[in-house]
Amino acid sequence: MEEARHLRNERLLVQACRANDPMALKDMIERFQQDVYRVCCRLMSDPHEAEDLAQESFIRVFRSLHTWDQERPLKPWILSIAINRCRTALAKRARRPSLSPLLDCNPGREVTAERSTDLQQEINAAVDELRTEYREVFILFHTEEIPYETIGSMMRKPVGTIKTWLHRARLAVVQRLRERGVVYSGSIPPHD
Amino acid sequence: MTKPMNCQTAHTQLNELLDSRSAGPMTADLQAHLVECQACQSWQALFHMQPTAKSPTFELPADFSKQVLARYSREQRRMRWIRASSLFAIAASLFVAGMVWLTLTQPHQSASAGRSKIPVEEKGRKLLDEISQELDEFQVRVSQLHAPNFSLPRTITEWDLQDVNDPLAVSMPALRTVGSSLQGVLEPFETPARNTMNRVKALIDEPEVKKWVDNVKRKVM
Repeated sequence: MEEARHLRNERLLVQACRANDPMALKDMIERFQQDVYRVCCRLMSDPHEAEDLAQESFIRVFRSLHTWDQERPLKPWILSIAINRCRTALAKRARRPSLSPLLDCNPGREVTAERSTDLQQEINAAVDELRTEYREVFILFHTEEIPYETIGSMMRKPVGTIKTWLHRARLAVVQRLRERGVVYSGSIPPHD
Repeated sequence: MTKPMNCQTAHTQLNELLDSRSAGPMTADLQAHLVECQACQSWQALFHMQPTAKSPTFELPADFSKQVLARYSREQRRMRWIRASSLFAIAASLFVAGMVWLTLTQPHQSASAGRSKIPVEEKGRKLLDEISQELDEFQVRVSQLHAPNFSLPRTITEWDLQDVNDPLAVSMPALRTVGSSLQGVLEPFETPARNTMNRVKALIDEPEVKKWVDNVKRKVM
């Protein structure tokens, strides 16, 4: 019941946005800007680039509103657009030589394990080092709390693949934490 | 005695707990394994990230939505401009193509107009009438000048303009004959007769008449 009402509200919002109603466009941005920016930030590890990509994502969202499936919630659809923008930006970044050291969305965070005592920050640093699809799945599941099925439809992958990626991502994060000495660094047991 | 849990089973159970976004309740076997196995204990670190997952440190500028709307507005203007430019380019291309087509088809239309023959034919008929009249006068004048043996070539005298569709074309050889005949006999006579000869020559050499005659000849051949 609540979900149906929520979907109806989203449909109304999208209709108003498609009619280019400035208030609706503003409402749409403000409703999802934190989610979009957070995902961009986590994927890009650069606040300026993340902000730019978040803006670009919203513009892409506005241009593609006619393709939104009205039976599905807006947030995963918007996040999948943001993830695609980040993926493209990461591919571009990989092709060009690095001009600056790794920046961070969280200015207070120390990058190295030696100087950091904050476990969450260490986990974030370990996640940043994951390969792209593992990082995407990890962030969507743990940060955005999006269920497997939705992540699967967002990334156009079977749920089994998403689960496998997430389990491997967790294993890799634990391994990084051990390497950094954040957690016990004894022998790593074999994983299934 | 129960067999102690191995690391693989512990990982499976830890993953299931993480999937359920919950740190508990852990099974007694898993708890016992974690007490024993320090390597698997490190997995527990992952449970710490969840409470702080939605970190408040990801702060956007206060005017983020304004910036997006401004950028979207610029984007829309740019798209409108691109669309208008595309339409203009298409219209210009069509116009140029139309002009080229018209230019290429224009000679055809002229030829078609030429083939109708009506204006030139009328002009030719009028000229021939005038010349014919002048030649008749010339004949009279020659008679008055005591040259009774001189007569115009038969081709001229037997003209029947009413029966000839292309009078000028048919009469061209006749006019040439008249021209050359007159040239020989007109020398001793006075100026009006010479003028008549010149008009005949001028008619033969007139570019428009020549062109028309050539067209008629081509069509006949």
